Amino acid sequence: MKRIFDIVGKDISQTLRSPMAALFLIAMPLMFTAFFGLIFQGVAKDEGAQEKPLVAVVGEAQDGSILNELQTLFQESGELTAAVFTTDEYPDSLILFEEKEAVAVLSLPEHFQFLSQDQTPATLYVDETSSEGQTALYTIQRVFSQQQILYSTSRLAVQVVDEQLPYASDQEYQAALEQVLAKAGQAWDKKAVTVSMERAVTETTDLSRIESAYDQSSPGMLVQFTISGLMGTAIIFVQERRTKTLQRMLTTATSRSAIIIAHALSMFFIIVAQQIILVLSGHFLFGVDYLREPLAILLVIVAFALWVSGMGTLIGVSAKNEDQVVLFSLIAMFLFTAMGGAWFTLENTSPGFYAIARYTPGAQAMQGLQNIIVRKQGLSSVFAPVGMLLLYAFLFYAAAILIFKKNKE
Amino acid sequence: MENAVEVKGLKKFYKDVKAVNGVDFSIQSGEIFSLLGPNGAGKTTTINVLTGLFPPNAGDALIFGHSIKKEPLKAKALMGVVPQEIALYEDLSARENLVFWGKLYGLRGKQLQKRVDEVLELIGLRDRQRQRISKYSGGMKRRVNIGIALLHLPKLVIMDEPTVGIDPQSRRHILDNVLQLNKQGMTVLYTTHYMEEAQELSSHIAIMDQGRIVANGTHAELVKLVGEQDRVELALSQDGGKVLKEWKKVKGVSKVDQEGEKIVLLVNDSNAVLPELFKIANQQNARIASIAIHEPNLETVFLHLTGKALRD
Repeated sequence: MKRIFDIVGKDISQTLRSPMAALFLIAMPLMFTAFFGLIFQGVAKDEGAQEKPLVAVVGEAQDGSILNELQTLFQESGELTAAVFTTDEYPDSLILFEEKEAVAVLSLPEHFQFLSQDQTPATLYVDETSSEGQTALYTIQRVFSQQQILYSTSRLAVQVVDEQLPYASDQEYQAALEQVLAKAGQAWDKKAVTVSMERAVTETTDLSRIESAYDQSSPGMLVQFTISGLMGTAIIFVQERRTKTLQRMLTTATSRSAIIIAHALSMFFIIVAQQIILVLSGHFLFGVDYLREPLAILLVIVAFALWVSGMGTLIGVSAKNEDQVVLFSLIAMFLFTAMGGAWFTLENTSPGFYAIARYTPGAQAMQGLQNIIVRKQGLSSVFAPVGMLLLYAFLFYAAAILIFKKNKE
Repeated sequence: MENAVEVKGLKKFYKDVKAVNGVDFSIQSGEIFSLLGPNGAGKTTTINVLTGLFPPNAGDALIFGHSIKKEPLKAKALMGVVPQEIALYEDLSARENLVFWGKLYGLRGKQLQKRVDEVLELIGLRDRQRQRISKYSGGMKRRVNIGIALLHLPKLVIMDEPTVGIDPQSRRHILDNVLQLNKQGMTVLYTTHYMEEAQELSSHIAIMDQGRIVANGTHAELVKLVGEQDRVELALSQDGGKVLKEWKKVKGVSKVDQEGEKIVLLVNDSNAVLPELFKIANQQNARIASIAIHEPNLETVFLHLTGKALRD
């Protein structure tokens, strides 16, 4: 047992004194987390801007109250932002649309009022073929329909009262109308049936629009660079064969299985340490909420490290030289990170690809991590991916041991 | 006296190649035993089987009574192995290498540090112990390579051609070390294809060829195998095909071989035979350009037993 830890100590010392180790294990993953985070954040910002298109409301300066009322209604819709302009500023309001200052321009005639029968209709300039234009059109129509209903029902109500118990004067009639209108407005806000929309997510939930860009890039780069980091330790296997130190080890009272366990353990310890550093960096530098379920994250890290060290051991015992280690490690890295959804969410891929890729070890690690940081689920949500990773680890270790025993030096 | 090594019917095959084909020998505790033979004779394979790197196809070997098949870890714990190739971690220093290998040999704590210091002193690298092995010369690496095998003061040291490819000074240093270790009571199994090394170091020598031990004994015993025959090396100034045929017929000549431009004869009494050899050469109009007479040695023995020279 002591000999196993002697070999582990030697392996770790050799790995850490390599100048590339710190770069590959820590610096590059952090740099790429920031890099991919910035890319995804840029996309998110664009998407955010598109969610609230700007509508320009243009009218006579003297009609300020209706202009402001419309601006408020559009803003309160939650779908649009609105800006008010006067015809003095923009005699030709179409120019706002043509120069893409706004996705829609609502041009009001002089003395515009809601529910006035004999007035020139307002004009809406909008590109119905764009998604922003459709949003603007739909929202403006909804706001106008709402006002139409409010004004119609209020006026009808006051008319019915007036027919049965006539108001003393036009002023009383107008005051009653405004009172009913205000009540109707309040009643509109107090809905009879309320349906609230909650964030409901499952393991198959579309993660294409996750809250923070780092929620994708941080675990993604963790998975990618953990796999690529195994290169350094897998290469020790091959170097030991080339330099005959493995043969020499076998002439001491150290068993073959002790040697393979030691190398696998050293890989495991390095990978776990690397992941802990990346998780803590992700949490404190990039605001990824890893630590909301530390035990769950630790389980995923340990299971993932077991699988990666199993794969590293398999590569170490199979490769004939250092070049093959690099080649096999790069293939493994690209294959398992791409199929694992480390670069892009798997939900955005074709159904065929998704059906296969979601069961790969990288995808299981991503799922375990994102169940915690994105889907905000609990400890039990990582049991299935952890189980899968342990199964993969067992299979890779079994293959490595078989090959190592077959290739008796 | 106790047997340090006992090898019985050892066989190791690689597909169709019989690398070791039924080897038997024993080494008494405290002696230096050499396995002598040309490259490819099966010496390294024998060592690899003895040190537990490969399982034998047949036979067994006992190291101080422990079978390498049944108790490999016990057997290995008693031996220190100096491999033919330098087997060190180039990115670690000499001291780090010695400490690591010392731990694998079961040394710990103060005892480990003490032995590392002693070995560094023995191999003359105390001053450069913190330097990485990659910065060392070939001779210095060889010394560390040997030092590792001595860390745990093994009862048996196995050295597989430790002097291959090094300068005469380092070679002398290694041979002196071997003799010194033996004086301290260590049993040494030494493989070489240099006859002079085997002759100088060993109390017992086994000659190997094509996977078999062809002779085994002390230097004197082996020389007796070829009788009191002298080895005569001649060079002719012209093609001597016909001369060689006539020389083979001369009484007292037991063997005639052509080794490149040299003709090698094994003769019972060179003084008696040489006049006849000159006479035949004159009759065939061949001139003897050079002549050298060697008294019997291991080279002669090997030639006698296998029909070829050690360096072939």
